[in-house]
Amino acid sequence: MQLPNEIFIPEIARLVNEGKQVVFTPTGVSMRPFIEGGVDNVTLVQPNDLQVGDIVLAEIQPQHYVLHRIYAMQGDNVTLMGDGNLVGTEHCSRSGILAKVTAIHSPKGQNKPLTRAWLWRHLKRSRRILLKIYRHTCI
Amino acid sequence: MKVISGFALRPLGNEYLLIAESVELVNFNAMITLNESAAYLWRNVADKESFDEQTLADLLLAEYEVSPEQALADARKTIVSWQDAHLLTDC
Repeated sequence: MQLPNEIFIPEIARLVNEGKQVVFTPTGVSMRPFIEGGVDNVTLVQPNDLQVGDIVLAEIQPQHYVLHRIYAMQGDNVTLMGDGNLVGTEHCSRSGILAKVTAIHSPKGQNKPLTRAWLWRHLKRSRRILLKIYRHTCI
Repeated sequence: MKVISGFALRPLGNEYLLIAESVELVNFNAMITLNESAAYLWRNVADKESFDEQTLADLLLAEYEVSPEQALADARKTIVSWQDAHLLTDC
C-alpha cells in the first residue's frame, strides 16, 4: 500500500521520537548514487549528534518532507541537498530534522557504506557527468 | 485462536496500521494495514483469550448491515489473512 508522505512520515517521526529504529524505502532519485529510491531501505533513528554529511529526514515546509544530506549547519539553520541533485538546496531549522539515517540496505540484504560523502559534496560541478555514468553503469 | 499481543492499532489515513510496539525496530516495508472493518474486528478480539470465525461473524453482524452468510464469509477471509500475516496463535 502506498501512503501519502503527509500521512506516514509523521508516523515514522513519532516512532523514532519514541526511541525506535524505523526501516522504510524512500522514493525518488534525489539521493543517487548513495540511495536508490524505491529499491534501497534506510534505517532511521532519533536525530542526535547531527553533523554535516549526515543523511536526514526533514520537514522543510509544513507537510513537505525530504530525505537529503546535511550540507551546512549554522546555529539553528540547516542546509540540505540531495546527492543526486545538481543545484538547489533546502533549508530548515534543527527542529525540522525528524530522523537520521544510520544504515542503507540494498535489496540483497547487504548494507551500503554510510559515509558523510565529503568528496561527493565537493564535486557539484562534476555531478552531471558522474550521475550520467552511474545511470548507465549501475542501474 | 487468539491474536498475538504487543500490537498497537494506529489510524493512518483511511486505513489502520498494526505496529509491533514491543520491538525496537519497526519495518515500514513489512507493515500490516487493516481496513476499517478489519480494524473494528481487531479491536474487539485483541484482548480475548479465545475467538473463532463465528465470534468475528457475530461482531460484523452487530456493526454492519450484512447477511449472516456474508458475515461468516468475511470472518473466514479475515482469519485467513491474519493467519497469513502470522498475527494469530493457538490458545
